[in-house]
Amino acid sequence: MGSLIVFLVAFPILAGGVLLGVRNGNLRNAIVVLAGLVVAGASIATAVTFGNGNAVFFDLPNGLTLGRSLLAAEIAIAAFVVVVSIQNRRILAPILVLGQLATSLYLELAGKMPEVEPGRLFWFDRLSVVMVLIIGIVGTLICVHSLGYMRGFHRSSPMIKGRRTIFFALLFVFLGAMFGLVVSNYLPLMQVFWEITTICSFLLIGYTRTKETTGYAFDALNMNMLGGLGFSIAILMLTGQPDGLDLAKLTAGPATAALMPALALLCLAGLTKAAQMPFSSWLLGAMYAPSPTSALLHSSTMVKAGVFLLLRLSPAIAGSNLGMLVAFTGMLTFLFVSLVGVTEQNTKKVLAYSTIGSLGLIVGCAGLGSPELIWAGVMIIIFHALAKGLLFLVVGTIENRFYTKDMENFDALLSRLPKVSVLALTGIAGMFIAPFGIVVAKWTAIRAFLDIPGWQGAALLVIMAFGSSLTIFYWGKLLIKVLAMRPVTEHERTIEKRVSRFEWLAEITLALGVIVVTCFLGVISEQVVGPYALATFPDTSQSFLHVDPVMLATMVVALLFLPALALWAARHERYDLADFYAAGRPVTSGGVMGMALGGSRTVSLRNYYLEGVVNGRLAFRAGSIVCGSLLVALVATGMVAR
Amino acid sequence: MGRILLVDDDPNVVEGNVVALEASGHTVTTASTTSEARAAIGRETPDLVVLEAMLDGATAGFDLARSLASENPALPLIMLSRIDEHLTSRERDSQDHHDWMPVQRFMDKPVAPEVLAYEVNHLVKVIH
Repeated sequence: MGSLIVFLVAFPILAGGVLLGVRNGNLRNAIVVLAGLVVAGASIATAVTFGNGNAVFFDLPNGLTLGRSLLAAEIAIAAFVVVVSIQNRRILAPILVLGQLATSLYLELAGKMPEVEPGRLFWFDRLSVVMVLIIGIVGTLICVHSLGYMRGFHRSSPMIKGRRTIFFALLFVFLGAMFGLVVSNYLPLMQVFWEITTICSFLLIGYTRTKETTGYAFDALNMNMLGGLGFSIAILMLTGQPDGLDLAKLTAGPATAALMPALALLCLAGLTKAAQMPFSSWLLGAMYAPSPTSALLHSSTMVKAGVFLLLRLSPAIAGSNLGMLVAFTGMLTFLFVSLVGVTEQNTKKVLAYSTIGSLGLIVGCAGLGSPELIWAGVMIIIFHALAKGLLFLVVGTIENRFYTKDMENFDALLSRLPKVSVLALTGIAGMFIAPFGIVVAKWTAIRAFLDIPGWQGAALLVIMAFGSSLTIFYWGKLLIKVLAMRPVTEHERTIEKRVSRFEWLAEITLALGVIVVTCFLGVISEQVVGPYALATFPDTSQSFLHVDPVMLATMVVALLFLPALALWAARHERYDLADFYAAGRPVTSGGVMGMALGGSRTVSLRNYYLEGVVNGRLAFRAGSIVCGSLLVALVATGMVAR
Repeated sequence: MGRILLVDDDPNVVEGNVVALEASGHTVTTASTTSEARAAIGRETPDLVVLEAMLDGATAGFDLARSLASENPALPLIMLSRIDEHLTSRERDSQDHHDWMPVQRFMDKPVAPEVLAYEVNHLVKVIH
């Protein structure tokens, strides 16, 4: 097991190093595809080796030890951040990173850093299996997709200097760090991987190196570094506790009051990484990164590191005030971002709000902690990684053909890009239609909320109901856009032929993944997620969703009948499609009308962005204030509990 | 907003784009050949030029873009093109390196007029 894990971490990083020196496009394609296959294969091999067993703990193979390598890595990260910040005249990031480094140096030099207990460096259990498979398979598909996407990206923006060697190197280094993060048991080790993912995210957001994207990259860096500083101080506090740095022992059961301050800071780190309010703005800025980056880091994997940590902490914080505050932060974030998402016209940002919302649900589940809620949280992780990853890739493909992310310009996708629209449909259905996993998880969570006594249970139920109805609003809107039809010219029909084979390969595989995983929902529940939930919160009375795979498959096929029919209809136009009728002087098609006193306006017969009804910016600010107050309470509770 | 020169020989495309750009508050001048475009630039330097690659019955738009870029590097250019139809996928793949065309944006037609207007607004804002 140890060798496999080391391979999973080291191989992608090495592949990244090799890619840094590859300038030839064809060679790069070959290396990315091959390395991707190896990574995906190794992640599957790791999962198979693990089988259905209980949690295992192990060290580096062949008697290797960490030595001072963690400190060296931290110094390198700090040096990098300081240099980049000086170049760009930024002050906050270096302060935060030097704060982190100072705590580590203090622990190391004062000899206060406890040694790792032999055999307990890594922790591999069913949750690690889920994460490793997501990172390995979804991650690889997204890397392959990038080969096609980046070509279109640079073709349409010739003045942006190509840094594809760095881009692909970063994607692979990120995969390695992510693997390391989800198998770490020793907190300082996890923190180093945590920081590497932050740096990868920073560099990828700032890929184009314009003033605008550099600003967003630093926003992301500052907020993640703040969480990282919380992580460091938590480690500093935990060194005084027996087994404090051993994550599995730390979270084996309800925490003592002495551990609460450190746990509160670890929760803060998790909340920043998962872009929960008031830290959500960095994820929205991150949408300026190339779309595959959004799919990989800012939806399928890196932001999941935040909820992964919170799920790990769940047994320690559940039932405490801290747990309740974490849960409310997540659930209120879900409610507020769902509201803001309705007012948003930029499709990538809608996906970002939906991502923050889904992460909020998982945070809610982790904070409250019960077998059912842990089950729901892990299920959302799985389905969100597949469906949202797919949607980000599809939006990237559309963006490279239509040069826009505006939902209004995605109109009549079924007529213009029929195959892409069916893929989009699968992703959207995966996010909000039964029997796809997220709806099932939400239903399970609602059932669990009913068991929570007092006003808290009722409040959570109301938040869930209102938040979910808002998400249905924006998904429905997008669905209508995707499924709408209009007459298209012969030339428009050729657009879909420009989609590269890399993009097709990744998107079709992910769409099939959504469908297959849904069909096997019952099996995944019984073999992986259910046993994990029961191992985390032992409860013998609990039984988990048992669903017949045949029934699920039938439901999925019935659902897919609709897009198949739509696709057929798009191919065989047996009826006339016309623009809507408006009495006036049309200037061009698409509803541009001449006005009586000159000039022209685009006629719009809709207000499904709730303009004038909901002020998105205000709602976002309100949410940040409410969740920010909860956060202050959260840290204070931790301190008071002591 | 800005003064935009639109160089395209397809009157349908020009009409839609003029409406969308004027609706965004720009002043639009049009030209359908490279010589008309040069004459228009000679009269008054625009804030931004939108041009088609296929002009004068050949790929004269490329040459126009190159010479405009070398004469006035600060002038932003957007190229809308149907050249895609005449390229093999290998040729298209080779057009993805830095500076393969000295334009800020290169977009295969059809490009929705609102999308063009959005790009123009963005670039004009950057200049101002």
